[in-house]
Amino acid sequence: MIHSLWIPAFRMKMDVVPGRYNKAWFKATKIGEFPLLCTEYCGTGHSDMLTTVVVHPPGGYEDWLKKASNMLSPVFRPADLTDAAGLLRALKTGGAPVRVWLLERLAPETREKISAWPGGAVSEELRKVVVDDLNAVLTGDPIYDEARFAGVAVSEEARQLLAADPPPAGDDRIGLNRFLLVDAFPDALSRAPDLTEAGRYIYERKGGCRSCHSVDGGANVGPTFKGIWGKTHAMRQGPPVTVEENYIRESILDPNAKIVSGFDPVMPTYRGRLTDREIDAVIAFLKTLAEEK
Amino acid sequence: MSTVEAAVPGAEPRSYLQEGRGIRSWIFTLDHKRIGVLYLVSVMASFLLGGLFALLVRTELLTPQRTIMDAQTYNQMFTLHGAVMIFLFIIPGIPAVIGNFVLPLMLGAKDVAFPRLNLASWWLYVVGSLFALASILIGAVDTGWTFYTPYSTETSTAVVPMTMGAFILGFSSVFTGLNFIVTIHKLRPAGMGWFRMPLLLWALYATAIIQVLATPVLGITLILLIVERVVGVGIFDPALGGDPVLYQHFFWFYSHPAVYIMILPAMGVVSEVISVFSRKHIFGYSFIAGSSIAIAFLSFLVWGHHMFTSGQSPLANTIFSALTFSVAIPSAVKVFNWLATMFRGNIVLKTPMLWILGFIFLFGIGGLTGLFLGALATVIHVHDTYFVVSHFHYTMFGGPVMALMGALFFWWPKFFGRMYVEFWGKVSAVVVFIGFNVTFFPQFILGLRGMPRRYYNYPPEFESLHVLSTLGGYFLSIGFLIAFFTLVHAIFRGKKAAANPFGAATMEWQTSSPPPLHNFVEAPHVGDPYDLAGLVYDEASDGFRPAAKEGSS
Amino acid sequence: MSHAPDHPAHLAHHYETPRQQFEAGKLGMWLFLVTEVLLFGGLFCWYAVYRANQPEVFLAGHRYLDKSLGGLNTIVLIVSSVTMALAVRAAQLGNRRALLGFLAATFLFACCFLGVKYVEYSHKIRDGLLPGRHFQPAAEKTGAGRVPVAPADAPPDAPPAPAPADPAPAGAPAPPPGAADAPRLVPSAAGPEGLAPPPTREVAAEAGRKSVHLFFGIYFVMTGLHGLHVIAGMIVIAWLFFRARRGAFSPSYWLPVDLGGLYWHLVDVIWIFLFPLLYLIH
Repeated sequence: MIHSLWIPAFRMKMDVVPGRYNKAWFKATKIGEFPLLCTEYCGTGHSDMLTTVVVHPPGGYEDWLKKASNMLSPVFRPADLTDAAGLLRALKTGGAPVRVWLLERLAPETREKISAWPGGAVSEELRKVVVDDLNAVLTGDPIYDEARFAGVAVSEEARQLLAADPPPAGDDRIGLNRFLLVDAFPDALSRAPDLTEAGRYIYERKGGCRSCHSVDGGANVGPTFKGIWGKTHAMRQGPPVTVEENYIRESILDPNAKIVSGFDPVMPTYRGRLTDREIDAVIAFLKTLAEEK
Repeated sequence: MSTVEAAVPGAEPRSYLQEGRGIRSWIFTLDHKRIGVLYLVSVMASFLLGGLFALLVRTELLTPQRTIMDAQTYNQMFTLHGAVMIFLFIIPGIPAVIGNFVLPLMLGAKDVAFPRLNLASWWLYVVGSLFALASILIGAVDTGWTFYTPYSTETSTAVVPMTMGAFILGFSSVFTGLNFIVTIHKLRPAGMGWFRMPLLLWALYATAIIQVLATPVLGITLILLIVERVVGVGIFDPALGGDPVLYQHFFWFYSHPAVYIMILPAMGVVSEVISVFSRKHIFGYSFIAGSSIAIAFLSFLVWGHHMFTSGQSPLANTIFSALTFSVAIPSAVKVFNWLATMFRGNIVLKTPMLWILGFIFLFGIGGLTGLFLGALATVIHVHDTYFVVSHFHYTMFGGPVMALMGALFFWWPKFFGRMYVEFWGKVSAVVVFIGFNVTFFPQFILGLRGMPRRYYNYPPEFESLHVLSTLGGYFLSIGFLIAFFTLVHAIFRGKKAAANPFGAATMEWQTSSPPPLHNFVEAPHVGDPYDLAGLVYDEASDGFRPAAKEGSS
Repeated sequence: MSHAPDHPAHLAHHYETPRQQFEAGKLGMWLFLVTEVLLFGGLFCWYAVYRANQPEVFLAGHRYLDKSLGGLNTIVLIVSSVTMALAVRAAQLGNRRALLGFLAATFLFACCFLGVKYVEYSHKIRDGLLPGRHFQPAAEKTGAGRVPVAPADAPPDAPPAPAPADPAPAGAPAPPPGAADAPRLVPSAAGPEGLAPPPTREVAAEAGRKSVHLFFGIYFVMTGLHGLHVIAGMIVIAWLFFRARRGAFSPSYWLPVDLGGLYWHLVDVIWIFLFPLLYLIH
C-alpha cells in the first residue's frame, strides 16, 4: 500500500511507496505536539492513520531517548513479576498508602482472588490476572501523587519524567507509571524486564525486525531467524560466517558489512537506535529461536 | 427520400423525432441526432446515479464519526461517485451528447463521417456502463477512481469489472473522437475554411485529438492492471520487482489530458453562447481557436504534477510545475476573450447565459486555485487534501457541468423543438450556482487547515465546515432537480420553438427545430458563424430570421 | 440535397462523392492505427523503463527465447505483408481471382505465425517460464540447483518440437543460462567453486536470475496482445475474402481491402519491433 506522511504544521508531505526510498526533511521551529496524518488513500483504515509529532526542547529528545531505551517494554509481562507471592502478600497486608491505593485500582474479581489466595505458590492464572491488571494501571491515568508515594524512594528516571514540561504523554506516561510502580514494589517487580521477552518486543515492535525477518522459516527480504543461532551462512563475498554474538552485533550496527548470499544489502543500520543492552536482548531472543529448533 | 423532401415548399418537414417509432428505431438508429439523444438519456441517468453517491458521501461527512455507513461503504461510495461521474458522465457529457447532435448540423452535413461507428460508440458506452454497474452489485470497488496500485491489486472488491468497464468506455470515447476528427476534416462544406468554423468545433476537434491520443494509454494501463490482478505478473508489484509509481505515470498520462477532454468542449460551448447572448461578434476568434489546440498540446506534458509527492526527482517536479503554469496561458486567453466579447455587448440574461456566466466565475476560481496546485511551494502542503477536492470540483463541475447545463438549455429547442419555462430555468441556474459555492468553498478552507481527502473519520474541529458543505450539497441538488423538471416539462408541455429562438448565426439554427432526418431541406448558407448583424427578430415565431436581402450596395 | 440518380450503391448517403468517402475512410483508419500505436506504446514504455532500470533481467531472460523460431515468424509475417499488398493491388485492378488467392495466402501465413507462437508458448509453459508469481523454472521444480536450465535441456520425452538450434544441445551438462551464447558476460559463472567472478557481475547476474520473471511478464503481455491483433486481422481478412467472393469490390471501390491491408501492415510492424527487443538483445 502507498501511504503519504503529512505533517500539516510543517507544510511537509511525502509518499511512502513500497520498494523505494523517498526522502523528506523539515525544520521544526516550535516546541509542542503537531498532528501527523496519512494522505494517500490506503484502504478502510485510511482515516485512522493519524498520530502526533512531538517536538522536544533542545536536549529533551536525548532524555526521552534514554528513558525510552531503558524501558525496553513499556508494559509488564508475566516474567517481570519476579516475586508474585511477595507482591500479593504486600497487597493483602496493606499499610503503606501506595499498597492500599494499588489494591483499589485492581479489578474487583482480582481483589477477591487475592483475598482468597491462601499464600504459598501463585498459580499461573492468578499471575496472569495480576499482570493484566497492573498493565491496566500502567496505561491508565498518571499514578503519582505525593501522599500516595510518601515513603517510597522514587528513582532518578521517574523524577526526571515527573519534572518534565509538558507532562509526559503516551508511551512516556506509561513509562513513568512503570518506573513508579517498580519503585513502590522494588522486590516484587523487575526493573529490567526479562531479556528474551525484551528481545521479542524489540523484534516485534521497537526495532521492527519482523517486517523483514521471519521466525517461522518463511522467505522474506532478509534471512529467517528460525534456527539462525549457530548456523553457517554463505556470504555474497568472503568466507562463510557462523552466526554468533559478534556477527549479530555487527549486522545490527553495520548491516552491509557482510551480506548473506541470495539477499540484497537493504537493511538500514540500527546504530543509535538500539542500545547495547537492547542488542543483548535481541541476541538472547535469537538464542531461544535456536533452542526451539 | 427525395419525394418527401420535394414536398410543398414552406411546409414543416417531418422532424427526425417522427422518423420511425418504437425502441428499435432508436437503439439501432444511425442518425447522429438520435444517437445524441440516446447519449443524453444514458449520460443523465449516470449523472443522477453519481449525484446520489455524492449525496451519500456528503451525508456521511455530517459528523466526524460514523453517520450512516461504515468505513468500507464510505470508501466504495466516493470511489463510485468519482468513477461514475468521470467515466460515465463528464467525459461523454458534452462531446457525445451536444457534439453528436450539433457537430454535423454546424457543418451543414447530413451526418458524422461514420454513422455505424457512432452507434457502436453508444453501444460500447452501454456495455461499459453495464460492467460498471455489475461491479457495483457484486462488490463495489473501494480503490478511489484512480485505481492506484498496489491497493487495487490487493483489495477484495470488484476491481476487474470496474476497470473493464472503464476500458470499454475508453474505446467508446476513442471512436467518438475519431469520428469527429474525420467529420471535421472531410465533411466541412465548401466555403467553410478552418477559420470560419464555429469555435465549438475547434474545441471538439482539440478534444477529439486528446481522446484519440490519450485514451489508448488508459486502455493499456487498465489491461495491465487487470493482468496484474488476475495473473500476478508483477508489473506494479514491488514484491516481484515491479514499480507501483509506473502505474501512476501511465494513469495520469491519460487522466490529465482527460481533464481537458472534459473542459475543452465546455469552453467551446461558452464561446458559442457568450457571443449569442452578448449580441456581439466573438472577440479574438483565432486566439480562442488556437488556444484550444494549445491546451490540447500542453495537456500531454503535465501529467507529472499529480506525483509531486511520490518521490519524483526535484528536477522533474520543477519542469512539470513550469509546464503546468504554461497551461494557464491559453486558458486565460479564452477567459479574457469571453470577457472582451461581453464588453459593450448587449447582454441578454437568459437561462443559457446564466449557466455560462456561472461557468466563467466558477472556472475562474478553479483555474486560479490550479496555480496554487502547480506551484511546488504550496502544492506539497495541499496535495491530497480537500483543497484539491474543491479545486477539481470548481474546474470539473463548475466547468463542464455548468457548460453542459447551459448547452442543454441553449440547444434544447433544437433537440426537441420546444421551449422551456424561462423563469424556472433561471431559478435552477441561480440555485445551483449558490449551492455549488456553499458546498465547495468551505472545502478550500478545510484543505488548507489540514483535512486530508478520502477520510471517513475526521478531527472534530472540521465539523462545522463539513456540515456547511453538506447542506450546500443538498441545496445544489435541489437546483438540479428544478433544471431537470424544467427540461422534461418542456418536451411535453413546452411551447413550440422557432428555428432560431436565440438569434445565433451558426448553421444548426438555419434548419427547423427539431431538424428533419437529413438535417437540412435546402443547403444552408455558409457564412461567418458569429455575424449576428444579419438576423432580425421576428415577433410571429418568437425567433430570429435572416434580414431580407435587399440588393445591398 | 437529393441523391444524384447515378449515386453508386457503395456510396453512403451522407457523402457527396466517392472520393470524399474514400478519403474519410483512409483518414479514419490512420487515426485508428494511431490509437493502436499508442496502445502498444504503453507496453513499449513499460519495456523501456524496466530495461533501463534492470538491464540484467533482460539479458538473463532473452536467452530463454528461441531466436530461430522468432526469426521464422518474422519472415512469415513479412511475406504475409507482401501478399496483402498484392491483394490490394489485385482489388484495384479488379482481378478477383488474384484477390481471393492473395487474401487466402495472407490468412494462411497468419495461421502459420500463430502455429509457431503456439509451439513457443507451450515450451515456456512446460518449463515454468511464466510471469510473476507463476514463474517456476523447471530446474527449481526438480531441485537441480539454483541455476535455471535453458529450455534446450528439456527432458528427452518432451513432445516433438523443432529442436532449438541456439542454446546448448540437449543432454549436455546443465549450463547456466546463456553460457552457450554469451560466455563473455559471466565468464566464470560455470567455473568451479572458489573461482568467484568479480562481485559486480555476479551480483548483476544473480539479480537477473532472481527477477527474470519480469521479462516473461513483458514477453507474454506484449506477444499476447500482438497475437490477439493477429487474430483480429485474420477475422478482417476472412471477412474481406467472403465479400470479395460475392464480388463486392471493383476498380472503383476497393477501400475496405485497402483499410484491411493498412491494419495488417501495422500488425506486422509491431512484430518487427517486438522481435529484436525481445529476442535479439545483448
